Amino acid sequence: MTISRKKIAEYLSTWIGLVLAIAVGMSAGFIAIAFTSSAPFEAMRVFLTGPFSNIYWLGTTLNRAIPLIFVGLGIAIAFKARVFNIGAQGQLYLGALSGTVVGIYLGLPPVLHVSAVVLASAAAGALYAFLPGLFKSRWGTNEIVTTLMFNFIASHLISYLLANQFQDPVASYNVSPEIRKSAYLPEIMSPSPLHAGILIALLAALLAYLFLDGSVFGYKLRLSGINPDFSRYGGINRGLIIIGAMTLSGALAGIGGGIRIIGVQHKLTEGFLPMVGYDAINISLIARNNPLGVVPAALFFAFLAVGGEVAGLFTDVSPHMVNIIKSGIFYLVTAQALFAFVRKLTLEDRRGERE
Amino acid sequence: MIAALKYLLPATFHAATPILYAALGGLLTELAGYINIGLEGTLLTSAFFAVVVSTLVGNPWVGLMAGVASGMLISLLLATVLLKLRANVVIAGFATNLLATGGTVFLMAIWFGEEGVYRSPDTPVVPSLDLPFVDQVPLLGAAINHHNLLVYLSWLAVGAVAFLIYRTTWGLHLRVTGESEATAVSTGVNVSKVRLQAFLLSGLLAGLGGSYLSLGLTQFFMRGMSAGRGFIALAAVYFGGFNPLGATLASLLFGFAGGVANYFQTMGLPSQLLEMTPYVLTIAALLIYSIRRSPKYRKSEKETTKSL
Amino acid sequence: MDNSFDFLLRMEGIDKAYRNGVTANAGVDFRVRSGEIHGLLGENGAGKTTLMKVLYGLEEKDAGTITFRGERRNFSTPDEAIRAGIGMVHQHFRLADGFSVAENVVLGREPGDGLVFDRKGAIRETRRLAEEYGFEIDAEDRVADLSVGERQFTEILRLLYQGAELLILDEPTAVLTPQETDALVDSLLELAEEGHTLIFITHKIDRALEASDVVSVMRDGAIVSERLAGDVSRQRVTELMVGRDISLEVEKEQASPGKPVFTARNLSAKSEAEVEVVKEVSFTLYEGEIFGIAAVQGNGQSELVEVIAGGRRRTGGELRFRNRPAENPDPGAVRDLGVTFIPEDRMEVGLAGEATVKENLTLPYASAFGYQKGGMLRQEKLAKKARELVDEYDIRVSSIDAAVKSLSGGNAQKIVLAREFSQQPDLLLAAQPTRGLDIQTRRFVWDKLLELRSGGAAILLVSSDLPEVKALSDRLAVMYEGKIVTTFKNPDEVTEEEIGLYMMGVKKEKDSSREG
Repeated sequence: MTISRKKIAEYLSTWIGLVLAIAVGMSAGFIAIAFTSSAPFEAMRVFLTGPFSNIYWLGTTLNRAIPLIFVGLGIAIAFKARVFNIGAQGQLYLGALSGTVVGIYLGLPPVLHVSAVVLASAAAGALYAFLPGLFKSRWGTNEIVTTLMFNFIASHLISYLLANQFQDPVASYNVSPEIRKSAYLPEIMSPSPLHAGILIALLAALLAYLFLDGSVFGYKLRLSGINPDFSRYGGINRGLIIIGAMTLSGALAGIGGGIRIIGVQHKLTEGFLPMVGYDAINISLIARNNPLGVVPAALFFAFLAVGGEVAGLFTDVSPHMVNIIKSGIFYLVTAQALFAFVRKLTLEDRRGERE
Repeated sequence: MIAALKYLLPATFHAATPILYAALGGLLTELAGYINIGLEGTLLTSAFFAVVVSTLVGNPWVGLMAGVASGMLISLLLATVLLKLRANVVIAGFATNLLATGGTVFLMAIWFGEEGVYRSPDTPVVPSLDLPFVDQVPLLGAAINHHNLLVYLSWLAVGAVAFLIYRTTWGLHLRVTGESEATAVSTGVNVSKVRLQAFLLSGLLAGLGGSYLSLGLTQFFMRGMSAGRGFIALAAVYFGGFNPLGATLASLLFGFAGGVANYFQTMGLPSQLLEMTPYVLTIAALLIYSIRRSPKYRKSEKETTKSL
Repeated sequence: MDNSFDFLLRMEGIDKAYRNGVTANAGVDFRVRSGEIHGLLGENGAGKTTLMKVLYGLEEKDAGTITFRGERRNFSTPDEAIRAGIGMVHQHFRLADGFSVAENVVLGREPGDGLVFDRKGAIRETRRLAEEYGFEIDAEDRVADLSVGERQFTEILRLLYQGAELLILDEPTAVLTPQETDALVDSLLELAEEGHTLIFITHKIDRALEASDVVSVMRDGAIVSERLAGDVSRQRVTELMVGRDISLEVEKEQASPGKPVFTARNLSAKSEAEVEVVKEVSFTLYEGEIFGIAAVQGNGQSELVEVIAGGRRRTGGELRFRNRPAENPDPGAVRDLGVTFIPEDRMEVGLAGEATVKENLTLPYASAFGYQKGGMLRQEKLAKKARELVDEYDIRVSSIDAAVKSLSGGNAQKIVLAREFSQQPDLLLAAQPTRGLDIQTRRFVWDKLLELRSGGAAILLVSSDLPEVKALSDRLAVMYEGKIVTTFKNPDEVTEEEIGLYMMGVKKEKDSSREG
């Protein structure tokens, strides 16, 4: 079996392009460290090894990855369908809100309670994504702008509820009451804070992959995303795909929010996971919108975040350098010219015909 | 009621000005065919450099220049990644915001050891202006007098941008580029150059807006200071129908809503629902627009969503 | 007579082959005299547009020389050609709808210099030119409000404003009404009188002979004849355009048409540009019969097929599938009725490049009974089906999991054929099914079409390949300017030239809405 040069070039260009994007991002971070730290190499060492330095940090890193995985999966599904769900942040918020409410006010035995929270979070996120999905499917309304607007509406809504209807009467800042213990997710790696949500997240990644790769709807979704016109003539209803993709995407983002609540925070606060919705976009793009790739990409981002925090605590580096790294990656991860350039380099003979 | 208005009318302009500057910038790139999601980051960046340089140099005008320059620089970065590397405009815009968020706090931490606020008692700021005779106009006079120079400048900016868009050759090229790239290219218009210039101007205008935040409205830099104004500006562009007058009216409206929200806050009333106004209105406007549009001709989805 | 100084333009020995292997121009010798109106005629794929693109700097030639105004030139960009005094109006207009005629005309070379746009100057200049050349359009009108003919005038005005001496028009009459065409021809004559030289590409023989001084006929990538328009008959031109050395041999049993499968009655449709391109077309398709539509590109046949396939809305008339009316069917509903569709643009509409061969082949089976279980695809069954099709249709792939975009064009097209043929449709819509295929594959397609026909399927075959559509069709209609101008009940008994005359609009049935 011969592998054509063209195929190699495609494969390489995708990966090398990615590696380049990450390399540039990381370099930006290292340059920032180098110029500002009095002991740059030590700072870099702490940054890179911090997340693994003890069980507590390891658990924290894995915990950080959990919402990123869920939301990243949601984004991957949407992007595969060529639906640009920028609204994961808002869907995440509503999922967290819904999960918190169920966690506070429902009285159920633990397993059922957790399931109820997950379902409620999923439903809230799904509903919140369904609206912009409907608008796009029915009237062609630009989902990029609508989902972006919905994010801010969600964030203000949460602020309002936490300040007025829903706040813990005892606390001095805006926070919800605590959820009942029956809704807690158990810790699985004491003394670290790692909770069972990681297992659910990994399961979700597997399910998402099986869905996209093996189910009828997943297949139609992917094909519709690859070529909407072709799929239309093939009998695939683009409108249904859009709504389905958005709803699923929102559900996953919502679950990400809910699981965070029952796994770590146990109450809803202002400024809850402020960047996850957007980080997840970055993550999904790095993973080329492949659910299985979302897991390592999410872990990578969690690693960056915790590494930055550890460095912030123990060296003179500011943890905000991590945002600089992320921005470097974000700038380049969709740079088509970069990929085309690499493709051209690996493909000397322009023809690349199969035979 | 009168007391409320006395507070609200001037407050509207305070709130609307940074939005207006950013919206004018966003309008230019939108006419070139690109949504500038990076306005938020541009506001933040210019706010930071404006107040820092002003304090260190001791001159607000130098500070203002630094603010504008930094706004233009970060917009240049965005434009380059977009035009030369063909990145996706939405993603690159978010990257810009991320860079600004992280970068400003990072610099604040390593230069000044601060994590939250950079403030100095001797920061020279851009002065306010007293217009003669205006005070004699009842109610309205008080509303529009004694504003910061940058506020008045923003009104001039509206006129300048409108003139630029509709009366200059460059503006013609800009609008044609956005409407029909094929036409522009086939008549020899340098489409890349026009787009780059649109982003640079966008950076300049947003730079003025950000500088107003830290050298006019307040006298400090606070992390996350732009507080979503860049996105409200985008909402203003869309809600206003992609023209300078619409963007201005929308900015004023959203500024007014912001002012009322602030007022409520000081009165202890909930303000968040008011703060949602720009976003809800924009969604409604977009919906109405797309419902009315004829369903007969819709560009192939493949073309409009290529690089994600 | 061959004083080379008289020739404004000489193109000699032009070769141009595209990357997909198609040779568009092979040793073309083309010459145009100053002040001449020169019609460049030929069928689709004859190479006319390519030749002009090479001249205008849109394509790079592989060999040959271009001599313009006595000097060797080679334009590598349209901008260079414009500066040298050559202008081209393309088939798809390059106009900004929301702007005025004047703005579109002066764009890129605005009058005066400096910051401010000299709107008054632009209007003045445009008005002056319009008056000078007799174009009846107002410089201040918005292009969006203009008719197609007026838009074309705007494009021409722009060329004149840019100082074009030689004007090239690519299929200018394709989208015009007869009255607009008259106006265009008048303006061409006017332009020539004012000293301009014109080349216009067309397949409409009548108009070409009417408007030109000289016509050159292209066929299969070369100029086969250059004649004075007054000295040559329409028949002769058709022969030159259409004549072939090899005739097509196809073994065909007698047709035995069965029940009607599909009926179109007064069907009309519009193009994206809101121009009516299908005008009250009526016909019926029967089981076991191949109904061919012969037409030159751009006469509404593509849109007609899209309407039947459910991808384009009709603006008038009705469709009936097995005598049940279909309101505004979407493609899914049409497929459910037992219709399959081979689209003209195989690569863009018939395939999903990033998806695998298997995924592309088995799309119709994904929801089918037996290929899924509980919402999950039965991958082995689908893979088996895919492999079957790959074998049967001789698709050269190393693996059915390879991405379609890594295949060669011909192979990729076979995927579309495999998928659409293999579903045993009641009705097959085939739009230019053998375009871009090698001779072996074309024979294969013909065999498959005949096989389906024997099996009782109704087939609508739309093709601009005259020998093919003539040999395969049991009944053959010709479409011209959106209407069916004639239907031959016995295509075997008609000559290709005769069919060609109808295709080129030379011959017209007296009663052109007769149902075949």
